[in-house]
Amino acid sequence: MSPEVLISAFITGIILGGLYMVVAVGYSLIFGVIRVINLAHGSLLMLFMYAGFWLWHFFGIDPYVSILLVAPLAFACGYLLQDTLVRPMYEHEKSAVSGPLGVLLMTAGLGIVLQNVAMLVFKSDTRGVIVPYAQRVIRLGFLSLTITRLAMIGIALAMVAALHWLLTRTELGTAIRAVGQNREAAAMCGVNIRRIYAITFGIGTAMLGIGGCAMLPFYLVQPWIGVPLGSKSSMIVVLGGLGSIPGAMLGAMIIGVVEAVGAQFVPATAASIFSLLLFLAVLFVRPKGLMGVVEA
Amino acid sequence: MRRLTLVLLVVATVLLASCAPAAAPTPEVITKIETQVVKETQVVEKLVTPVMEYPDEVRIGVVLPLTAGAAIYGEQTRAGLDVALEEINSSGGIESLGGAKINLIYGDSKSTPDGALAESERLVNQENVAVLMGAFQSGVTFAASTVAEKYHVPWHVLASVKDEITKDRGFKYIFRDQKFTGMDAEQMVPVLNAFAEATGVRPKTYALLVEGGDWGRSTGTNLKKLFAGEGYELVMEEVYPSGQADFTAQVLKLKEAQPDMLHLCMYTADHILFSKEAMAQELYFPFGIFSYGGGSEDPTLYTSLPPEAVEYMFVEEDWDMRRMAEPWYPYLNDIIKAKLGYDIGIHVIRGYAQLYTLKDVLERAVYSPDLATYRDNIRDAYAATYITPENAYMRELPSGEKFAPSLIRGVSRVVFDAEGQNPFAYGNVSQIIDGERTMLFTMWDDLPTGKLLRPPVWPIPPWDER
Repeated sequence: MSPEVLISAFITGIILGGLYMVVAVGYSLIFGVIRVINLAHGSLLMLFMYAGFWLWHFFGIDPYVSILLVAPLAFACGYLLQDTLVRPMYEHEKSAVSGPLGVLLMTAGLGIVLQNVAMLVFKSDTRGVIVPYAQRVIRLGFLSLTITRLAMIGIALAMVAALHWLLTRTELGTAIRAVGQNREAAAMCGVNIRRIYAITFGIGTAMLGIGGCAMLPFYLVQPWIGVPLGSKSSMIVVLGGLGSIPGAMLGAMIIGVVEAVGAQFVPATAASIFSLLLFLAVLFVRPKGLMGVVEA
Repeated sequence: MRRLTLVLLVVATVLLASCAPAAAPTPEVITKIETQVVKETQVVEKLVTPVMEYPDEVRIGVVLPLTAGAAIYGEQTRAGLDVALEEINSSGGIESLGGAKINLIYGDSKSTPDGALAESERLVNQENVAVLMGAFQSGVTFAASTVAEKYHVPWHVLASVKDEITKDRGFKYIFRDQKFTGMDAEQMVPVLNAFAEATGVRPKTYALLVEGGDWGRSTGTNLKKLFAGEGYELVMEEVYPSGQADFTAQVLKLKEAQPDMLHLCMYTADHILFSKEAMAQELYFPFGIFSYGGGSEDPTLYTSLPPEAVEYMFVEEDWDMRRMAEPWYPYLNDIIKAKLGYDIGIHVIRGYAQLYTLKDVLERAVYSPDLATYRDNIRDAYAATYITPENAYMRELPSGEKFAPSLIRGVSRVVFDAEGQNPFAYGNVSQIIDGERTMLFTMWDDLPTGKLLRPPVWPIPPWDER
């Protein structure tokens, strides 16, 4: 195998990691602060992708422009979801002195409901956005990089940078981090836990809205499209460390590169074994993940 | 005739008994004879009474992927089945059963073998269906049809092409009016030879890119076997997990291998992602991409891709696309397009045609109120099926023209061999030229060699010349 192919595969893996990052970071944020494993994450991504698709289909709005409309919508959905569904279930379980299994199951059920509602309303047709720039590539020597995928990783990094700025440079971000570190102590300091939880969930889903629209030019939409990405993001978040955003970023990149480079040596059916073995190995050696946050 | 014979036998017995010489029968003997006659008469009465109590309906179980990844195919197949059902039931149902209606009871396989197994069990044991139909994906049908065989319920295959569903399996209750992958591969040899003869050029190398389920693997195995004998060199083989998020790795491998042609088996979502990336990377094969149905036979593939992404692609078709010019096509298309929102393709047409084939079977199957016996009789009727253009049930269109619904795919006849396979159900090959799927080669006009209808565009123009 030529070095050019290997380098191309490595770069491809980084770009693929950008796709995974967009889905995984929001997941990690939600768990890190609210301690909720949102199994409806993939289905929510699917919904926001549909939102971007229909804006293109009916109004001709470019997917990148539709981010401005879909992201606030996604934030609102996440805010309401947390406040009206997750929070009551969580409080009920807290009082019942049982584990957080109910919230987990509720999000899993929500995911299934969303998939099937999407199927009923939108049908099972596979849909794709067709934009004139979708097949344009940038050539750097032997590298051919699709601009839509480069845009994906650019948006992913920008999103994470914005999140970092929010969390470290704003009062809201400080409150979010405080709640993530110690909820009771934050409450005693006057932080409105309920509001912070809802805002955090909203931020997590807003990231899905941004990522979903950015994927449209090179991806496709159907009711089950969120399932593989949702499962992958669960693995990435655990690999990187539950609650760690840098960990989610690192996990996404590692999985992307392992899959892309591994697929050059073995069939793709076997390449996924590498990422799974890596996942198991990391958990065996370091159960909290690569950059896992130790709970207070 | 059998009943008459029995009546005569009883009468004769009675007569002979009454003519018996010598000793007068004892009361015990008389009673015994009379009892015996009464018993036999009761049996005869039961047999000679015509079976006037036909059922109101015949229950048919249909296992399809109605949710999850393959739902698009299940939805299209169901659309065809439902239209055929409405037509059959409103035109008198099953005439030989006094107008009994067909009742289709759907089971959702959830696109998985486990789902199909569970639904098949439910349909057989709780819904008491007489026949099972399904289940699209080869791996799903292969698993679920074991339920049918176990309970002696006929299984009418819908779409599945894995060879072993019928071939060398020894099953007696499975019937497939559909090609299997061995036939696809077998057909490709005369196709490539005919293309080479017509154009004067011939590929030397090829690559395989197939989904990792039974369909892809079965097609790949058969192609490798046959192509090896024809001197084609395999330069790259890739089996990938269906539902993959990205195909850049495969595109890179293909760029490195540079095969003359690519043969692929992909479902719709995979096909879209691969085609988008291949176009972006300007992946070029001088002798084109050969797509063995699946996604390339799904109309929604073509609405999700720019036309340039699939131009010059060859498609292994399950039906004769020249039939689109026949009057039944716009009739059926108008009805179903109103529901689905796009023009119909093979999946709809297959569902529609296959239900009419089932109607033909049910017309000939001897009814029995005992379900187990009825299932066996239906199985026998399947085995005796022989539908040709001369004897097929004809449906009249509103325009007055008639057509044979069970033959609309273009297959010359529906008949099942000892393994339950229709040996005439080959396919055809088309090429997308100027955005239109143009039929190039058909096996159905001229078995077993097939017939070239027009030469392909060979070699394919490079990207910068399009």
